[in-house]
Amino acid sequence: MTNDKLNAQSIASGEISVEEISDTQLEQALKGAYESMDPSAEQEERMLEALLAAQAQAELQAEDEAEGASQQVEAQEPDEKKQAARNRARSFRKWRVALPLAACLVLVAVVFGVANAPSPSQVESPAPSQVSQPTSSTTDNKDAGVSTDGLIEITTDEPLGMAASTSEEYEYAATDSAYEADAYYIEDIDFNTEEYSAIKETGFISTKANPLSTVSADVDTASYCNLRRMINDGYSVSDLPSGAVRIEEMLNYFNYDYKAPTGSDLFSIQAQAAQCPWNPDSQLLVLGFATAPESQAASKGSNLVFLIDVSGSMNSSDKLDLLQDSFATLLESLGPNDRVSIVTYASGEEIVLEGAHGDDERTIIKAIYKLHANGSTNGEAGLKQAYEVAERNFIEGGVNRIIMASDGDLNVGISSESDLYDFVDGKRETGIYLSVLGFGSGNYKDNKMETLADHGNGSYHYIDSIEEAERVLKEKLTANLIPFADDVKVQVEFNPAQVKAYRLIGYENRELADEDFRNDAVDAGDVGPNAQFTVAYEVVLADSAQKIEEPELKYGSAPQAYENASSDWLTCSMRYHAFDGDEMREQQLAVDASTVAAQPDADWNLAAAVIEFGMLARDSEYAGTSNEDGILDLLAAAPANDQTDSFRKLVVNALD
Amino acid sequence: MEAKKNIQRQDGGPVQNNPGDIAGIFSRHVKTVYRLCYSYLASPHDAEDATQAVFMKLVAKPRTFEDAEHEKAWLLVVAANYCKDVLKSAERARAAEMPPDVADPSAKSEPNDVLEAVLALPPLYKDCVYLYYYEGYKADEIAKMTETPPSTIRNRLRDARALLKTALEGE
Repeated sequence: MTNDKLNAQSIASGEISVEEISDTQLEQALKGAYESMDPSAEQEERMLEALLAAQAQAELQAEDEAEGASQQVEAQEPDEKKQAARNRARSFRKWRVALPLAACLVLVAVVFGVANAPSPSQVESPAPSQVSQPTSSTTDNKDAGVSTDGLIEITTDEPLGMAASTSEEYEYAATDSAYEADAYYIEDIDFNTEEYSAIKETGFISTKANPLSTVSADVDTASYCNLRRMINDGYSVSDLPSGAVRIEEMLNYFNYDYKAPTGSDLFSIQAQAAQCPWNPDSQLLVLGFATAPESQAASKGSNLVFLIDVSGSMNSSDKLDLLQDSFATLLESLGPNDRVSIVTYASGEEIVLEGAHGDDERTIIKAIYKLHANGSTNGEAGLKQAYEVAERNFIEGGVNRIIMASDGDLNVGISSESDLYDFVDGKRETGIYLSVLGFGSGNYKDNKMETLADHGNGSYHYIDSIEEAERVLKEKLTANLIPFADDVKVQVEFNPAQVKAYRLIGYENRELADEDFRNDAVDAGDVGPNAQFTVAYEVVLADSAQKIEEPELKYGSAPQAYENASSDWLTCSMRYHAFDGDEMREQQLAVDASTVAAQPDADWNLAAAVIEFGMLARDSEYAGTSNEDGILDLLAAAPANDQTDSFRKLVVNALD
Repeated sequence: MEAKKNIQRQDGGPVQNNPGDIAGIFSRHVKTVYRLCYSYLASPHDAEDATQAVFMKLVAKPRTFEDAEHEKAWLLVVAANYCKDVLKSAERARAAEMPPDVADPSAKSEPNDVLEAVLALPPLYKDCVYLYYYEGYKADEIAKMTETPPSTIRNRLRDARALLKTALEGE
């Protein structure tokens, strides 16, 4: 065994020149090498000092929280503990990433400076919002400054007019001194690497220029929950990244009293219009779409593959713990025909459970509680594995779906993001769909999550509390689990004789080209049974005082369009692929002045309130007279229930 | 060594405040954690950051341990995971394009081949090599700590041994 040609000393000194090394020699050599790595006394001292300082700070903070909690017992929901844990986690994350970020910061500032140099595209694009900016010399959209604490701050107020930027990142970071003990006291730094895609509002469109408005159905609800989380974390309306506000998802979060469809129609369509609360010259038209509460599809069973991110970043009370706690809810709605698999991914991917029967609660719950978070995030490998498992357990004619739970921080590594999306796109053809559940804060990647769900034909929800997890897993997700109608498209044709212009509210990233409405190769949203979605328009009638930019057409436009005798405002058409008959179906509803109500119903008031709040949250240039009192007035006429109450609290919380 | 089983559910166990003890925990394990971090990150500066981040987790979320062995095992697992995260992150990838800062006054001995061979190991092997060869854990214990099948750990150790030997013999 031992090789006498060598002794440990010569190995430790690095002089190894023989063919064979014994295990013992290797062990000794390794020990020597590891010992040479020891930290210096100076380093040890420095680290200890920082730890003690941080501990003192944490204790102070805990005291503050305890005090604060006792002062507002009734005002807050019973998750103060969670909140405290979240705050601690946040302050820790701040510390952990402050240093590398500070290093990147100068670079970032330089890049932004370049990106902000006036460009022709910027001049042409309409300024989407009127943010009053502090006077700043070279940067229109951003304000960079160095505060007295040694903090460099870059905030992105409105990235919308920027041709160069497609994703919004807002970052705060500390300078180099951050990793020294004293900088840890600076509690106000809100370090954050969350990412949102920029949203460009559509604005008013003249019916003369384009009488058609086409969108894909959207049953996502993530944006509302994510905003709620941020507001509960202490963000005020002006701090919210505008890219995080998607008004259609806010509207779809709420349940409306829409009627059930009749006959062979899969959807009911309802319309109600009334004087727009924030614009005296327009009408607010709310179109509601609803599917039947029950479905016939479930009998063949569901093949559900849960793809769960167990990377280190998921190790938090508002992420993996929350997911585990909420899992039992989902199992209630599953039966013996259903198959449940669990695939986890972190540095590596692993099949934790495959093809368990839906009624085998014990096995499933045991598997889910065995998970714990560590490692990095190789999302791509996890996705591939999940698709393989889903294919192996494929239920012909049933539901085949992957449900991905993540904070979206896919440091994919191997391939680019677009490759990931292409991969998901390709897999959609196999009949396996992908839904996404978003968790957590701090490094949340909203943009990636939404894009993934869109490509996978799935819905996207954000989970900020156990209540929301239950709501999504039980109501929303099972509703959207069963393919019922997919490629659901909505096209509204306005009658130029009655309507001068219209503005689609929200749905900015869901708009389709008008000619794609009947092009069945073009993918659109997927809607399950027991689902609702809402599309709202601000409609400027022909006799309105509002001035609308109209195109100057040299050859004029078809005169009959302006002189038709129809009193219709518009016709709303839906087109979708119905699973029950495996065919494309269309439905239509003509809307005229009779939909205008002097006293609009409760659903309309709720929708109007949500839109006003959304516009304030994203600092929309079309917000008009929207304000807190207006929203509260609308909510007074909204359905009196828990969801309205909690929204009212949120509004007050955010706008006060 | 039995106590290591308890790391299975890191967040499920009783979590208590044990104020004041951070200094004790730190002095007991700083070298253990630092060496592991260094072996991953190959830079005294990064190792210091990582070590501090690992102990900072205890400050941010205090927890109780069965005994010193459990405490150590927890720290080692957290440190390994933290370092893997650091290595994967994009910042690291960018920084890696810059020349590595090898020259460092805090490194006590001259850089030698064994050290270089250890630092050159793929990250996958680094924790098991350190835990096995320096800390004296058995393959089965490492498997439990890292929640990896024992056969995988044994394979990794075998591969790592072969890599190290090749590197050293090749000199």
